Amino acid sequence: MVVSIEQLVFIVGNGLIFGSILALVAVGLSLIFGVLDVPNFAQGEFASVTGFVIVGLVGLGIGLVPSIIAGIVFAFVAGVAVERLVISKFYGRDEFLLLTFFATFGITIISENVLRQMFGGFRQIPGPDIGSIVVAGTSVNLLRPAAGAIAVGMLIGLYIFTRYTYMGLAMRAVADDRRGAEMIGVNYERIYMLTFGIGAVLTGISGVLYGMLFTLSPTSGVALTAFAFTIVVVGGVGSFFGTILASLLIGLVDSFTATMVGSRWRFFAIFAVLFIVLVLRPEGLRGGST
Amino acid sequence: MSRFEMLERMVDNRLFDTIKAHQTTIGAVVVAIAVLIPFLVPSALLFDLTLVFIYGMLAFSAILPIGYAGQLILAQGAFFGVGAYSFVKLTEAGLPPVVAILVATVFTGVVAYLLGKPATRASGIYLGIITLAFNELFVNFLELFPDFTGGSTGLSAPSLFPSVMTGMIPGDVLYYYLLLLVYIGTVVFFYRLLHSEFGWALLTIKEDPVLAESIGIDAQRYRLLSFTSAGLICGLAGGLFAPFNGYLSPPMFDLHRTIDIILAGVAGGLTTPIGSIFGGLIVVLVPEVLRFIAEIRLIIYGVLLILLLMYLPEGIGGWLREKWEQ
Amino acid sequence: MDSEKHTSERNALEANEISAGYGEAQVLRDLSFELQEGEILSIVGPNGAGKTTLMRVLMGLIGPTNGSVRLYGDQITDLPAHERLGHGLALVSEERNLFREMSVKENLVMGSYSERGKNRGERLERVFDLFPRLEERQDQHAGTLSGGEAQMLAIGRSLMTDIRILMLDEPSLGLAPKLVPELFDKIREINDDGISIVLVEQRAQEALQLADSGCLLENGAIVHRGAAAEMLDDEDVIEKYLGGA
Ligand SMILES: Nc1ncnc2c1ncn2[C@@H]1O[C@H](COP(=O)(O)OP(=O)(O)OP(=O)(O)O)[C@@H](O)[C@H]1O
Ligand SMILES: [Mg+2]
Repeated sequence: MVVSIEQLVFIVGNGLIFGSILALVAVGLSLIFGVLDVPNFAQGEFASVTGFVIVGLVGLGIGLVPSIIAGIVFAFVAGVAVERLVISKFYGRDEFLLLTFFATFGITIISENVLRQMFGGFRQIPGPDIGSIVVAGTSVNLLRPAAGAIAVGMLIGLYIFTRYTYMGLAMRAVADDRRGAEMIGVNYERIYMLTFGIGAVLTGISGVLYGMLFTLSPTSGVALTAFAFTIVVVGGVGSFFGTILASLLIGLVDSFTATMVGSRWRFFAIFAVLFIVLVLRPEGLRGGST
Repeated sequence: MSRFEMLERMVDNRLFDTIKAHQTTIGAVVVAIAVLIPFLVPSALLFDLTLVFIYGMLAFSAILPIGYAGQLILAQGAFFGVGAYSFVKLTEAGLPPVVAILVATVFTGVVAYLLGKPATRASGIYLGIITLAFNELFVNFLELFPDFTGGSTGLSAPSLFPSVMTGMIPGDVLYYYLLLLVYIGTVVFFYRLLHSEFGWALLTIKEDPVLAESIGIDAQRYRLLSFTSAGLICGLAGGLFAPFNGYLSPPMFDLHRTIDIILAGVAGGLTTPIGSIFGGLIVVLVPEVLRFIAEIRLIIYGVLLILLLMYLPEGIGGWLREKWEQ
Repeated sequence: MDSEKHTSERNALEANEISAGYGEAQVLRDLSFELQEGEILSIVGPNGAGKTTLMRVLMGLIGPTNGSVRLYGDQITDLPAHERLGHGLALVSEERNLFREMSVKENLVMGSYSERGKNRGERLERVFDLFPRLEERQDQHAGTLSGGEAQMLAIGRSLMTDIRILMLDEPSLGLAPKLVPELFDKIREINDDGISIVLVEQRAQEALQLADSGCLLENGAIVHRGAAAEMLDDEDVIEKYLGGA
C-alpha cells in the first residue's frame, strides 16, 4: 500500500488532533484514578453530556460562547455530583475498585439513555467559522488545528496547575499518600470532590471540541471511555507524559486505520495495539515512572 | 438509618426461624415448584426462567475469579460467545450436538488459558482492561469476518434435541429441565470447589498475596486456573445457550453482556455460590418487569444497579446467609 | 542533662481516659496523659504496646471510642486530622508518609499547605539550615532518599508551618546507628525554638537522656510516668526496659 504525501499529511494531522482531544479524556480519567482510585467508567459521559448540553442550549437560541461556558460549568457540577452522590458512598468499603467500576458503569447506562430520550441520534455543535487554509493541495478548515491547539493548551495548563499551585500539588499529594496529606492539613474529601470536578471539566472540553469536529451521539461517551482506558493503560497508569504519548499514538493509529484500511477496522486496530503493548509490557509504555 | 437496614427490618427475623424449623418441607416445596414450573407458566416466561439458569451458571465466572481470587475479569461475554459460536461451527462441521457442547467448552477453556497466560501477569485495572479489550476484539472479529461468523446478520443454531423427542415433549420444556439439571450440577460442583483447599487458596491470594506465597501457594498458577475456569464455565453456558436460543449475533456477547454476567454474580453475592440463582433471576426478570416503561427502562436499570451496589454489596446471597447465621 | 528548662506547668496536650482500637480489637484502655508546654516527653514501651495508636488518636487519624483530647485547654476530640495542624499540632508518623513521587522541594512546599505558603521562604531556609542535606537533594524524588534523609524530610515538612507541638513516632527507625545522636541533637534544636515535643522511641535509654520527662506505655496503658532522669535511675524500669537498649 502506497501512501502519498497528501495522505500522509492528512493522516498525521488528523491523528494528532484527534489524539490531543483524546488526551483530555484520558488525562481526566487518569487524574480521577490517580487521586481516588476510581476506574471511572463514566468518564466519556462527561464529554457527551457537555456536548449535548451545548447542542441543546444553542438549539434554544442561546449564543455559542455562553452555551459553551454553561456546558463546562455543567460538567463541573456533574463531576462533583457523581462524586458526592455515588462515589462517596463507597469510601472505606472492601472491593472499592470493583464497586465503583460497576457503579460508574451504571452512571453510563443512565447518561446514555437520558441523552437518547432527550436528543435522539446524531448531533453536532455548530463551530465558529474561522476560515480555512490550503495544506499540501487540500483545503483544511482552521477549526481543526484550532481545536487541537486548545486541547494542547489545556494539557499544558493542567501540567502547570499540578506543579505550581497548592490545589494541584495537593491533588498529587493525596494521590501519592493520603495519610501524609491529611497530616499536613489537606482535607482530602474536598480534594476528591474537586478532582472529580476538574476531571469532568477536562473531559467536558474534549466533548466540546469533539462535538464541533465530529458528530455526537448518545454512545460517543462509551466510545471515548474505551479509548481513554486504552490510552491510560498503554501509557502507564499515573504517568502524565505516558498518557499524552499514548493518546497521540492511539490518535495516529486510529487515523491511519480509518484512512488506509477502513473505519470498520478502527477499534480492531486500537485494541490490537493495546493488546500488544500489554503483553510486551504489562505496566504500560512508561509504567513505574511519572 | 440506611435503606438496607429498613429492608432488613421488613423481613422479620422470626420468618427465618420459621424457615429454619421447616427446612425439609420448604426444600421439598421449592423442588416441586421447580419441577412443575413448565406446566404452570406460559412459554415466554418459561424461556426467561431457563435463561435464569444460564445466567446462574455464568454468575460463577464472576464469583470464582472476582469474588474469590480478586481478579477483575471483563471478558465473560466473549467467552460465552466463543462457546456459543463454536457450538454452531462444530455442528456445522458434522459433530453431534452433545459432543459439540463438550468440545466447545474445552475449546473456550483453551482460549481462556491462552489469553490468561500473558494476561494474569497483570492485575487490578490492567487485567480489567486487557480482558475488556479482548471482549471488544472478539465482537469486532465477529463483525469483520461475516463469511465465517455470519457478521452482524448472525448465525442460526441447530437444536440439541432430535425431532423425535421434541415431537413428544415441547422443546422449551426439554431445555428447561436440561438447564435446571446442569445448573444444579454447576452449583454443587462450585460449592465443593470453593469450599475446598482450592477456594481457600484463592481467598488467601486475594487477601494477602505475600502470605500466600510464604505458605507455598503458587499464586500465578492459581490465578491462571481461576481465569481458565471462568472460560470453561462460560464456554459450557455458551454451548448450551446457542441451541436453546437458536440464533446468535455479535451484540449478544459485547460488554453489556459481560456486565450483565458480572451483575448476576454481584447481585447474588460474589462469595455465596447459592446466591447465583437470585443473581440470575435479577438480571433476567428485572428488565422484563420494567418492559412496560419501555423508554426509561434502561435508566431505571442503571439506577437499580447503583443502589444494589450501595445497599447490598454482599448480594442477596450474602444477605440471606447473614440472616441465616444469626 | 539540663532539667530546669523553660517548661511551664501549663498542659500543651492532654488526653483523658482514652480508649481506642481497630474494629473489634481494643488497643488503648482508659489512657490519660499530658504534655507540658516546652518539654520533651519521651514515650517508651515494648512492641505492640499501642504507642503508634496513641499518636494516631492524638493526631485525629483514628477516633477514640471513649475519652477526650485537649489542646491548650481546647476540646479537639472530634476535630479531623487536617484541622489539627492549624492548631499547631503536627505528627511525623512511623511510616513517614512522604509524597514519594514528588520532589523533596515539593514535599516541603506541601508542608506549608495549611498556611498556603505564608512565610514560605523563611521556613524553607530554616529547614535547610537544620538539614543541609535536604537542600542538596531538593530536586530529587522523595522516594529515592535514604532512610536518614527521608526522616529529615518528614521532620522538615512538619516544620513548614507555625507548629507548637511536634510528635515524632520512632524517628530513629531505619537509621544507621551512627546517625541517631545527630538526629537527637536536631530534635533538641527544634525544642530550643520553643516547640514542645512528644518522642516515641524504641531506643529508650537515648530517648530518656534527651527528654525532660518520660512515660512507660504497656498493654495500652501508661504504667509509669515521671521525670526522665528519675526513670533512668529507677531499678525497675532499667531492669525491665532499658537492659538491652
Ligand atoms: N491498622 C491497624 N489495624 C489493626 N490493628 C492494628 C493496626 N495498627 C496496629 N494494630 C494493632 O494494635 C496494637 C498496637 O499497635 P501499635 O502500632 O500502636 O503499637 P506500637 O507500640 O506502636 O508498636 P511498635 O513498637 O511495633 O511500633 C498491635 O497489636 C497491632 O497489631
Ligand atoms: Mg509504633
